Amino acid sequence: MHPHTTWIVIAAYNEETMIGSVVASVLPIVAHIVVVDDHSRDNTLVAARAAGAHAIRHPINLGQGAALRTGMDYALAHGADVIVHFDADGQHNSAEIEYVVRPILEGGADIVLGSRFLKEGSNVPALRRAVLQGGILFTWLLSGVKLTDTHNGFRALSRHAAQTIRIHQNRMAHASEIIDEIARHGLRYTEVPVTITYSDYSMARGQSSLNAARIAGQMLWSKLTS
Amino acid sequence: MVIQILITLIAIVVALKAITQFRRHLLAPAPMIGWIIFWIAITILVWLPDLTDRIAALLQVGRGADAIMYLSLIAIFYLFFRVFVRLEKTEQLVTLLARAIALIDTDSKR
Repeated sequence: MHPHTTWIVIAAYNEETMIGSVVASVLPIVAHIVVVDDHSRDNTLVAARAAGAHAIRHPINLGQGAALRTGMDYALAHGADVIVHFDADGQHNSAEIEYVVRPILEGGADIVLGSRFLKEGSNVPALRRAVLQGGILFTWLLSGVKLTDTHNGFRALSRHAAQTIRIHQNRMAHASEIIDEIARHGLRYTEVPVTITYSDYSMARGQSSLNAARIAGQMLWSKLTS
Repeated sequence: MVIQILITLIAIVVALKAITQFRRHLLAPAPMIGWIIFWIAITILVWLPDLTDRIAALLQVGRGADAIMYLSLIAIFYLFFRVFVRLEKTEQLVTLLARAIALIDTDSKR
């Protein structure tokens, strides 16, 4: 399709039932996939390898932020020009990868963030919507970056952006941290509409809305102590 | 009188403990000396409570006991903060190590 090498980075924790089909859905579109198994208790690693992805396993459980970082290091070492973060639980649509990657290939952005709210007729549940709106406001106050969706795990980074951004937050606060890093390094960013499929599976696996307060606390703490 | 003896005994036990920890190389010299000085100070204050009243007057706090309470609280908060920051730093180092091990493991398998 293009001379660039795109790598898909998937952080997975106890996703043996879904990871195979997620990898299978991405493979026809992007050949290079690395799954980082964050020390799952199930056979996520084996399932990811069987489906045709490169797979790495953390020797201890570290959290999604750290898993993404490991995956990015791996992809960068293998010559990635563009890196795409993709969820392991089937929430994201592989057909939309090209839209997320496009602004980087065209040279218009260093980082592209998926937004579920830019999509017409998105089916975001009410509580989830309220919590996410809080996240948007919080991020804007803390980082000065105004986005329509701050906690979407679907994003693309140029090689430059992937090398520049530092993720210190091991756990879920990395989403806010990435935005913080965009502001700090003056990276060019843009948002593109993406679909999030809220299945019973992904809702059960994803972040509980209550967890948002804890994430906000982690961000504030790191701001104060850094 | 009972409380004075009790606290003195505790101070002796903890100070001895610091010395044995030091001998087993589980405690650096500086913290060992720090702890011993701390417990000697506590013992002195317990036996000479008038001293705390003078500290209180110096800090313009009503009673000696109150002054000690305030100072201890500040010290505890400070120590708590230090421990927390240290913990965060340790966690980041562990992360760095674990991620490096994961990548080395994968490379050697290829």
